[in-house]
Amino acid sequence: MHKSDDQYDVIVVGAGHAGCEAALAAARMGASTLLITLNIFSIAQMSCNPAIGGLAKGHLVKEIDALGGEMGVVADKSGIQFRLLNRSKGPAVWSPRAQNDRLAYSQIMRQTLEEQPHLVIRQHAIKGLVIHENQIQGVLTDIDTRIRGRSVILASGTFLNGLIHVGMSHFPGGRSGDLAVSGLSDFLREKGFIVGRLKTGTPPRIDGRSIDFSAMIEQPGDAEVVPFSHRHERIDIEQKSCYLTRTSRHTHELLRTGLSRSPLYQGVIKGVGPRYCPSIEDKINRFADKESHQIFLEPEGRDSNEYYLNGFSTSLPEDVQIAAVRSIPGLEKAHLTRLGYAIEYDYFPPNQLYATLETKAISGLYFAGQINGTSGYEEAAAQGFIAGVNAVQKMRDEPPFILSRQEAYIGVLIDDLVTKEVTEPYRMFTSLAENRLHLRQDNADLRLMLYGYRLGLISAEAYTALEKRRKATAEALQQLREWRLPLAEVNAVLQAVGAAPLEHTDTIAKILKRPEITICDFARVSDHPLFDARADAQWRRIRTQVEIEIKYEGFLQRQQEQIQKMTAMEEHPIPASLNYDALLSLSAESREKLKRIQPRTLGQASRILGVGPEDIAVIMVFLHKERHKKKVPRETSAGEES
Amino acid sequence: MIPHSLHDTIIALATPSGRSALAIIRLSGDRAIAIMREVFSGNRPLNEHKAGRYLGYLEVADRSSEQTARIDQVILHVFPAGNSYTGEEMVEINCHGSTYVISQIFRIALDKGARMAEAGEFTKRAYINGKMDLLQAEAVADLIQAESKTSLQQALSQLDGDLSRNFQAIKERLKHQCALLELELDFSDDEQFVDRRHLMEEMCVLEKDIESLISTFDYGREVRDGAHIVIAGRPNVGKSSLLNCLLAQDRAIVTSQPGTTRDSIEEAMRVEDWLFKITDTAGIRDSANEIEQMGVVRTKALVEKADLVLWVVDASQKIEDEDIERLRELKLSTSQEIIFILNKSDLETKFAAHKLGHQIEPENLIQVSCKTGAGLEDLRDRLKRYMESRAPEKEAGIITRVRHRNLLQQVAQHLNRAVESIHDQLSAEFVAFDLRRALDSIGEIVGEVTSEEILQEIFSQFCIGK
Ligand SMILES: Nc1nc2c(ncn2[C@@H]2O[C@H](COP(=O)(O)OP(=O)(O)OP(=O)(O)O)[C@@H](O)[C@H]2O)c(=O)[nH]1
Ligand SMILES: [Mg+2]
Repeated sequence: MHKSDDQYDVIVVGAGHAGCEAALAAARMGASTLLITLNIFSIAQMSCNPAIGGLAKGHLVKEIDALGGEMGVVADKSGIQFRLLNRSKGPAVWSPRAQNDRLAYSQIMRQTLEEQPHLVIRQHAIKGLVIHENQIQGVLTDIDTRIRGRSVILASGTFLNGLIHVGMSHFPGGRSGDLAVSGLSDFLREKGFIVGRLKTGTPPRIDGRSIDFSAMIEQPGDAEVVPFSHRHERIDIEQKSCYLTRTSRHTHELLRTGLSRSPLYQGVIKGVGPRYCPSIEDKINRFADKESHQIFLEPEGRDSNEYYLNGFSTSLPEDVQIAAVRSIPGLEKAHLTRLGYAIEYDYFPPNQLYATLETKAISGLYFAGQINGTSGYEEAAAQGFIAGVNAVQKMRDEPPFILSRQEAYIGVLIDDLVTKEVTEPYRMFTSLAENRLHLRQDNADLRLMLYGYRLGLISAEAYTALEKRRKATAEALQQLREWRLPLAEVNAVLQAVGAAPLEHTDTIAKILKRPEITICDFARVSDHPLFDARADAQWRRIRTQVEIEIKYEGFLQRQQEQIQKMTAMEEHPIPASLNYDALLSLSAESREKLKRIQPRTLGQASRILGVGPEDIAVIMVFLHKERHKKKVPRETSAGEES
Repeated sequence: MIPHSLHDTIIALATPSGRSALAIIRLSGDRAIAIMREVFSGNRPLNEHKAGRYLGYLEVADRSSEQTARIDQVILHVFPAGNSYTGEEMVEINCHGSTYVISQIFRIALDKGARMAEAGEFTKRAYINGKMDLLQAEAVADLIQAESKTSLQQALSQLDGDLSRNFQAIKERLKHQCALLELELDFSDDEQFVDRRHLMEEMCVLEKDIESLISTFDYGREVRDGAHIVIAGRPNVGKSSLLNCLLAQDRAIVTSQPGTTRDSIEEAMRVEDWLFKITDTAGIRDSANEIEQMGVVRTKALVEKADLVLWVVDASQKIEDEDIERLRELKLSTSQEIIFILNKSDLETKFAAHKLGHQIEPENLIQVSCKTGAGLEDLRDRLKRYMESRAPEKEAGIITRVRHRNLLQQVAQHLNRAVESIHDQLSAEFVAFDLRRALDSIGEIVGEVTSEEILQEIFSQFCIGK
């Protein structure tokens, strides 16, 4: 075996969305970092749809950006269409989403990595890890090179024992066109890790020249783009459109003819797929009474002619895919450049991890991304970031970096992963956040940037600008709560929007509580920049905050009270040394789970499936007694002193 | 390793303390059977794997004589772990009720490593060991306190899980609506799956169901603790005599002196299946005497809190104007009922009852004589009907706990807010916000959401031994 002389602080295996964030975070914190990829030309590949963000995922991107991650920056730079989803709903669920140029995304990320000090990239396949007494020491490449590292972050995506299915044929692969990795899961299984199997799928791609867009509904981007990154004030690009069409009953009949050759229906695929993102053959079965399903055509790039058939993920045989696609309005003459396929891959149920994403079994070894059973680029990137930061924190004996469920979607994501049983691909949803009304995309920086700054991942300028804005927002709020305009002026504002006039004037804040009034309506009576729709981005951001604070004040306050009630349990620590075997009243099932998951707090313990309130009561009573036991000697010693 | 205190073997007297023919002492914990085995000699050796009844003697070594001394002849009921009230190993000792015997048995057990149980600890263990849900645990507390038949029934029905089922049903309905709203937020861009009118109607129906459950609280509490009756009236009309008659006991001092009763006297009283709390008070008049004045203030306060007021008048006297005036001084609320007792009916009646007003129902005007006992049956009958008339239609959902009432009120409040949000056409996450809070409050009632305060509050209500 060749022993490389190189030694790194952090070795990241896999350069997907998790791996890139992990490597960048570690290197930017000053750790010497190695990023190992199977194929240097597919760094930060979008294996599935060419889009970043979307419902709840857009929140994650914003949070990663506020902490000093890279995904939002690259998504902004490579975006070819931007939309804020859920616009008709309240601000808490507005979610930014971008269509991206697949090649540009990969290219920009690669360039960023290449320019990053302390970071080097190497193309290798990894077949094993070097472990000594449950402590990671490095990795072993397929040509038997040993590279030493103080910590290793495994972010190998769907590549572990990846198996691609199209119809009844299948072959090993990590993604269409890329090799799978075979040795690593067996290696980890031998080390005692539990390995599971999941499945995901992707739809066919279509040659744009063969599409009749006139038969579809065009979906252009937003006129005013909300960038993902705090580093970008605005985005002025010519946007590409998406197109909407629908399957028909005829499509569904054609799909059914292929079920006898469907790997999913014939039991060839054993891995569990995501219920919330079913393949088209699954959809026509599960929602049999629905006559039609929405299909989006999304451009693969600015200069590419390929379109991604969103909503039509399938692993049916080639002839069925082609026939079914061609039964869709506008796709009668479609030429399929790439077939849809399903992929099965190994994952490690993530309650084998601490909330830092370090494995409980091997010190210094971290797992991030799809290897943990998540789906989606954004979920992967968030984990990569957290793993990268924590690898460095641990090396430096700094406290672990763990976000709470109350302050970030990332906190919800990681707490869910390490606490719940992940048996299907995990995806972020807004409904998973208890503190949903507060965890908005518009205030991600206000919530999290301080952490990024302290970690050295956010520049002092960015942070100072944020604090200035926070102050200006508070002042503006205060002002509007006190500011009374003369009655005539108020009524002029009200009249202009067709609202009922007032008899006595009131503060602007009070008037703003009316749903039909917006801050900019006051532009006619004051030239304060807060009211000016054309003011700069800084003022626009302040305006958004102020408006939300005022309009949803009651809800936000009640949410706050609610969260405070939760924190008592959330902040009630369970010492890592707690011996669950000593608590005989615990049911066998919950004892096993508590021992395996090792919750940090009572709140986390209460979220473990199968751990009931009576189990929580046992722990609570025990901790209570322990606390009292400890108190006694402390009191006597204080007495002796006096 | 320090033994976990939840597994200490605990001991307590399950029957009331004081002298009695028989007493029951309970032991629960890992060593319950082991402790007994050391001191029991009986018809067969104790088997910790099988529930069983054993007859024999408890014996202790007497250090001075180096002989064993018999303490008592006892019957032991042995319950193996998993098969007992607490879910732990348990032994119930049926012994003779002498204080000496009981104290000896306690001494042995404590010597062998048991410790005295804290209040409610047996039930707490049953709850912790998953033998009952929180509602059932509360019902046990009621069972112990049940002093009359109806309150016993109510406690039993809660123990069966009637109330749990009721709350669960409400929870399922709420959950379903929540899930639909979440679908709207997380799976579609700008689509509405949930018909808002329908949702609003559903929420209103739920709110009404909860309100009606809340309204059973007063009745439920009256059944459990007894409705509170206050006897009031001017001095010397025979209030204390009435109390004594109803209790069939010389409880209060009776003299021909007006102003005899100074301080209020509260007693529990049973009328057939029903339990009442009845209070005799100082007669109301303007008095120069400071003690009497204070008594009058107290009377007025008691009347305000009463469920039912028995206003006693002396029917042999002709001073109805003052009675009416005194009555007016009292602040009675509409939910309080008042029954006029025309006492001393054995004497010539001078009191003109019709002057009290026409709106008085005849059934609320009862003639009695405390001297002869006439009319007392009518009064008892009237009290029985009072309770019967207050019973809600379906017995299954009666709440008796302040905690439940408060949480249900919160649920209703959250639902109300959700309805408001729908009405204001706010988007799904705002509606969902209050629906989730409603769900949390219900979770707290059935003990799915645990907090330390809840446990402490509930278990502090138990007496030792249960
Ligand atoms: N003849 C007759 N005398 C009664 C009757 N009930 C009570 N008395 C007498 O009335 C007097 C007052 O009775 P109490 O019961 O002390 O009256 P009270 O209302 O409690 O009086 P205070 O405590 O002073 O307010 C006593 O001498 C009783 O013996 C009755 O039904 N018939
Ligand atoms: Mg009296």
